[in-house]
Amino acid sequence: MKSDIISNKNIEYVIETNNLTKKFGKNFKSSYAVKGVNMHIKKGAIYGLIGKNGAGKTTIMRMICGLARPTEGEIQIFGENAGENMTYRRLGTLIENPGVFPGMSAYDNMKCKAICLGISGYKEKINEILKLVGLESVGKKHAKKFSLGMKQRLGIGLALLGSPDVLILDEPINGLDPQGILEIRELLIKLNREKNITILISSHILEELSKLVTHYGIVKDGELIEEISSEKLREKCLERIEVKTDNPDKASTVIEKMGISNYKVVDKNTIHIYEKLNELKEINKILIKNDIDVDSISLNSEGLEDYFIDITGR
Amino acid sequence: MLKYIKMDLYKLFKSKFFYVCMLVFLVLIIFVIVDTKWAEREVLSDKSQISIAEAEETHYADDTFYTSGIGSDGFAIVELGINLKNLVNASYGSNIMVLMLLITIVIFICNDFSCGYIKNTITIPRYKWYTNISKLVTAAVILMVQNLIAIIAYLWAIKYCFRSGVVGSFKGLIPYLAVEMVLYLGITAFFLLICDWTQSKALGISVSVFYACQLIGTMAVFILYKVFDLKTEKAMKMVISVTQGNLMVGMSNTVLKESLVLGIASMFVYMTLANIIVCKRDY
Repeated sequence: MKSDIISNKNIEYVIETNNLTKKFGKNFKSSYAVKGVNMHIKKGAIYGLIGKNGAGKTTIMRMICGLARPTEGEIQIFGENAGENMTYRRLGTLIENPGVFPGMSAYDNMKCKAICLGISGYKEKINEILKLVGLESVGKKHAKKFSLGMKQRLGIGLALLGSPDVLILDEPINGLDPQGILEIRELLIKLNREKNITILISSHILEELSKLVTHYGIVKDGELIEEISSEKLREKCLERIEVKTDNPDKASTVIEKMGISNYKVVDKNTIHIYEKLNELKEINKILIKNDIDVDSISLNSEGLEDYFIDITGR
Repeated sequence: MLKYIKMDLYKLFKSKFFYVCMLVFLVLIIFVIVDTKWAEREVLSDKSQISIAEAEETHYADDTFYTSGIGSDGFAIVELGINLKNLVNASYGSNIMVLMLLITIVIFICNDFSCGYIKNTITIPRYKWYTNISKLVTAAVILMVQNLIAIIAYLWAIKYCFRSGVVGSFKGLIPYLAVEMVLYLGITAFFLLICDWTQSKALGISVSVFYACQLIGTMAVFILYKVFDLKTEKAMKMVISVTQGNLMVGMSNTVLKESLVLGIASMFVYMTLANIIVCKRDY
């Protein structure tokens, strides 16, 4: 597993998993939903968990917030083993669909959880959160009459009750309209920046996620194949010159002679050059002068989606 | 623990289904009153000596009611005397009490699973089995509400409906009700186990009806009779009492104590199993 976060020993991780594994079924019929995940979530980070459907994102989140028991491995929340202490109290969770009573209003749903959490003076707190998630005007309308977006907001509101230090949100922007997505994004950024809440979020909308997260965890077939910060990812997705040739070995020798060291032979026909980006014509001329057949040469860049597809495979 | 109980009671009294179930229960109580009124009219008009003779065959002791499942036995009530004690005993004996208790508590428990609200509470860092204890306390509250509805309705009926009705002595009714409640909570614990295990409202309600039709009691008697060759009348009555929760109002203190111990023991066993399921399962 590649990891640029793990190397930094001085960072405080609010959530850390060690060889986290979840196996379903018994004996020869068993299958791994999550396998040996070592995850590191820094305090104050917005950590985006990305992966295909069925990759194991939700199972990882469910284990972290105590809804599922790991088969192997351990979870540390704020440096303490989860399950043996009160660390779960510092988590606010929204896993899969928001758990709300359809026959109750938003306020009553919030009040139920507030009573269970033992929040004193919950009326003000609930009204404050309802305002924060944009549900202050729904009044006594039952949750069954809410749109999916309103239910998602109520789910986030429920997660925010109890003033958590970490929010765990599984697909929170599912079903939201563009305006709703924008509002939720602004809300999460506000919570992260103003209240210093660490956020673990998963979503399929990678473009949206890229506007929000500070760190990524890429999950494939139950394994965390890469942890990367958004800065590092941005560097990786930087603009580059893409050279298509049928002789990349010879081309790379010529490229090195040109004084270019930051390049990468991607496959048997492609080379990516990450420096001297404004000397594209010059590079092309030199390659042709050295008898290299250049099929194409162009200035390209890669988005999160391309990177994700590259790393997880089509 | 208290916070869970407070939350569950808040949820219960805020839910529409609770009031619907209690209304259905009231309708069933009214059915018992109407059936008894009809039997009283028949008996007082001296038209139905045959019906009384039939009634004598349908119950096994002087002051208890063993029907073959959900229903009412107006002639038996009339024969034993229309008073609060016998009417309350009839509503326990005819299984309308247990039917509506189980349906209400099954819906209450399974709603948490079906709408996913359990995810909000199970992640709160307390012992997961607190949720089960809280549900059992909620069941006790439902049972108390049911008793209150039945007693008020019967008192009203005694005053305004029955010509031969008397309130009668409360002595004997209180310990009887207390032991019935413990036995019923033992049965509720069994359903808590089923709901925690299967999380299925449909299955829970089906088994409730199955239970109220006395099929489980019949099976228990059959097993005792055929498999263990236990044929004493006392053993049979005890099995029926514990599996169906139907006691006799005039039971001796010793039998009441034995029933109480059995009720607590069954509650303990079922709750332990339900708590293991709650703590071990994934949500």
